[in-house]
Amino acid sequence: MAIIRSRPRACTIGPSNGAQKRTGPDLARVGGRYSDEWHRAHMEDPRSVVPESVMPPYAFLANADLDVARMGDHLRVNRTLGVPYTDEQLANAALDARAQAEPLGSNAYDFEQRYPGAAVRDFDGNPARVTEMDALIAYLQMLGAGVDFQNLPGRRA
Amino acid sequence: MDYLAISQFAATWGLVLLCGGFAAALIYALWPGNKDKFSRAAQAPLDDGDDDGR
Amino acid sequence: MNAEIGGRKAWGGDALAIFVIILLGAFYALWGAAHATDRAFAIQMWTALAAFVAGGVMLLFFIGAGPRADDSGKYANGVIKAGVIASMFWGVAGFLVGVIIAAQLAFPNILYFEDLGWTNFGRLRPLHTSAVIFAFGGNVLIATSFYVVQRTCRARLAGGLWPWFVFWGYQLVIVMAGTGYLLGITQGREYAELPWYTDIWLTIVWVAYLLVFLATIWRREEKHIYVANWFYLAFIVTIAMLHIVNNLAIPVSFASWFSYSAFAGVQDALTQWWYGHNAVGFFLTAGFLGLMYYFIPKQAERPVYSYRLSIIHFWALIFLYIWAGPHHLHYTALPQWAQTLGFTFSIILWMPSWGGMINGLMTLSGAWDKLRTDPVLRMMVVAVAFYGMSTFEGPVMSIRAVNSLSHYTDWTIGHVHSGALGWVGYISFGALYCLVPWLWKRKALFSNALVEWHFWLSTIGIVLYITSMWVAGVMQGLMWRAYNELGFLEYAFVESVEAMNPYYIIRALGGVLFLLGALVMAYNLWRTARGDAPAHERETDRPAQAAPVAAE
Repeated sequence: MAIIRSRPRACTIGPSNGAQKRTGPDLARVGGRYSDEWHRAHMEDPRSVVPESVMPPYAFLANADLDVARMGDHLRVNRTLGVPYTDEQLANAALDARAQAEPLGSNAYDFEQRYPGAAVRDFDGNPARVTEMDALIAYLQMLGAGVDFQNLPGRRA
Repeated sequence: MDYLAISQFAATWGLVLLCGGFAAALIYALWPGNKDKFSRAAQAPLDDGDDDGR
Repeated sequence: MNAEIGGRKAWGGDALAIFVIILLGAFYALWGAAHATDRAFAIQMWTALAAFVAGGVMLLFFIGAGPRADDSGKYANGVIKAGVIASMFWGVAGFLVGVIIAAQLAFPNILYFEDLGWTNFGRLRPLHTSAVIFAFGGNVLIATSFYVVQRTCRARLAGGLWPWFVFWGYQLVIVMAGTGYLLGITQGREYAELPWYTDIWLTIVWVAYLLVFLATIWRREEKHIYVANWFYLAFIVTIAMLHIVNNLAIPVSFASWFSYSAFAGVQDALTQWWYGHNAVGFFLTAGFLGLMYYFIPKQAERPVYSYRLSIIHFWALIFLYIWAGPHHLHYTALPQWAQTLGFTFSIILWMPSWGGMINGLMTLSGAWDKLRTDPVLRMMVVAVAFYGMSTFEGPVMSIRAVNSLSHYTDWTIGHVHSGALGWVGYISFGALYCLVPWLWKRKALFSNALVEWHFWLSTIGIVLYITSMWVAGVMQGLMWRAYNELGFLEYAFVESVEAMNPYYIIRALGGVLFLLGALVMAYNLWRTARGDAPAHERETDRPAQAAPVAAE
């Protein structure tokens, strides 16, 4: 549900639906498994938390401001393609994107009304800025988090 | 055209069309009368002449 | 300016139309640079603007040089020469980036600069795949297709300046793609990472390419269209179809590089692999089979073993290949019947592939001795052997049970490279070694000994690459599926990463050897084009185009 999106420029990782190769592990259910701090350390220097890793560092994401101003355009195109965003969500897209990473900001309450259950916090440990690192960690933290394991269709007892 | 109609077409007429098309290609390739034409054609890379003169 | 000699105006309709395209392109680039919503897009637009201005200036200089000479009786060779040079340049660049990313995986603490996003594996990897497939392979295909279609149709390349538009337009696609990846611009679609505006530009260039090729065939003097041209035409037409469908998307704004695909979920995955597998089938296979069916007979001085078999080979590939994509999606949300369809067709494909391989190899029957004396011919024959090998391995890997072991592992990477380095690389190298003496009108290559060096360096490189990746892949697959007696996974993922290290080092070494071979080749071709033929070799070398070996 997190509307902050990781732009593909930021990452080569992601849940593999038809990827050719797993250079890193399957991330389909990584959401909530590690803390934001762990992810941040992992992005900035992967071998500081996983010594055997061959992942490249993504420290530059923490210095790249997230382009929230045009979030409305992104949502509009998505709605054209069938994603059911409401007019209200479209109108507040830029504010909402910022609000998700600013839990003490004035829009945090409205954001939570529009996106019930979405995680609201400063993901990258730098409250002064909303960066691509915020976006990527927010994205990782929701992967697989929306699955209701109690009520899966055809689930065996 | 919905999904069902397309898949039914693919499983019937589509299949016939593709098999027929391939059979036609096979017949063309193996037709005895085409033998001379093909052996002439196979020479094409060998006698394509000089670059400048043509 | 409008003077006419031999019926050829300087300002022909071709020049005018190209000028209009350049103007429109420049206008959009300027608008895009001014309104760009982010820095990366602005850089892309300034790059495009510089290219369009350079193209316009080039065109004006050409026009300013006065009426065109009447060259209707000659083959157009200039654009092919340019294509040969571009192929060699992009080849070396693409192999170099491959070595760099192989080293990044083998030695994870070097060649990364944590604050420089453009040095990241994630950006260099599509740079490598696009450089070798589309920049190197694409230039080889365009150049050789222009060469082959003229000779086998006995007609000059049609379209006046349009072939040059195709050449320079395609180089612009490459530059836009490559610089875009470094800036972090990608659609995230395998082998189709180009952003929407570069996709549109590629479509324009590709349609021009198709029309030039068709118009040349149209004015042929031979009644029958030689089979190599069928393969080239299938490559051009199918790539156009795949490219357009796979890239259907809506941009977020005309001043932004970002777009959203028209497809989502499993339909998106299927579209991507329908494209991805047929890019292998029609770009890396059908196109390069066009080379095989021209350059091997030409260099061996014998007609293809069976022309009938070549026709069956062609139509079987056309009818079968397009269905094979779903084998990339075993054990995913794709319906089981579609997966089964994909691998059934993959297995049936084995037959025409091997028919084609036999056809290529048997072309040498009665002339096998040439393999000993002609390293260029040997390179192309080994290419066909690699074609046979990887088209055998591919169907095996597409079987669901085998795929459950091989999928997501380095086995796939090894398989791809046995096809890419062995088949595509060697058949291209062979064709380039043929073309340089033929186009620059040299009696022979500068040095056959250097071709031997190239051959052995790169062959050892390929063997190191594919064996290490095969072992690595099988090991990964086995580690990922190993359970202990309590039913837990035996290994954490990262343990399989750790186990890969020696194989990644061997793979990087293999890549270095392959790159070294290509550098030797570039040097050899450069000396050949310059006209340096050392005296001591002139006697023993077999001229590329002349009669059978004289002294043995």
